[in-house]
Amino acid sequence: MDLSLTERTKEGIVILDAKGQIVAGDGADRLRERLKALAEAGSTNAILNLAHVDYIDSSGLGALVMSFSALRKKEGTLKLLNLTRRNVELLVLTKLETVFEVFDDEQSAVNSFFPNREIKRFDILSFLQQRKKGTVEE
Amino acid sequence: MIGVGKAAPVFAPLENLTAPVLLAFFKINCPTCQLTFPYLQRLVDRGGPRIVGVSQDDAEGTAEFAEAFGVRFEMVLDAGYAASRDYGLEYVPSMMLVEPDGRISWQSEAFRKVDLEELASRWGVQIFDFSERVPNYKPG
Repeated sequence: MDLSLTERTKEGIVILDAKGQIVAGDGADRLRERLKALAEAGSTNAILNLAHVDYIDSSGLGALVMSFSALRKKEGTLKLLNLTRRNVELLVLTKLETVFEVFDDEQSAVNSFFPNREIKRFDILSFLQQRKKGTVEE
Repeated sequence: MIGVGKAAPVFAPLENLTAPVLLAFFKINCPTCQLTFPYLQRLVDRGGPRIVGVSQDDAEGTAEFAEAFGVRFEMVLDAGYAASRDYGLEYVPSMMLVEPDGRISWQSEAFRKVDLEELASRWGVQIFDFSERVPNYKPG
């Protein structure tokens, strides 16, 4: 399934709604190039909404890391929103949960770019513990 | 990969060699390459060999990779995979040290800490710092 990216802004923060798969070839490259174009246009802070991304392969992860590194070099950042259960596990498996800030609430993700605002971060450890107990939906 | 002791297929970075050169084949979206290349840059910075990154992507993506991961050593493009095929690559990153006589004296693929330490020791260089948590192995 191809990757589609829809851009919107909320309080000046770019949110990219991704749909499909972020995999080797077109999907990974499209994501990286889109984030690069945003950075070149001055939007170095972005949120990637992964609610409708059902699969990310190693090239997709590479594209995420490269985009993150490129934005950090420009004093911006990339934050992740609404990961599926599988993508949370992928992030933990690859230790990238220590790199990316992850949210399951859009307003909190936006708030995290502003000082003195209330932020509710996604608790990955709690998610995994609940998953182990079978209280998280597939 | 082609094998230690074998003659390295000649392409641009190997012309008129007077000192060993490390060829490092990579793809920009490869997480293991993203892990490896900053250490290769450190190897150069600490007095290691000349390194040439051989990119399987285009010039724009390659420049973006170099900037994102702080890589400043020379890069050449192998977007058509001609050199990659000649070297019998199966994975990236794949690295081989080519001596001035054109023979391969060391090679490694994926991220193998012990291999990189052995390579660096040839130049009396320590590539990993004691305080770092570096994986022993990461597949390519």
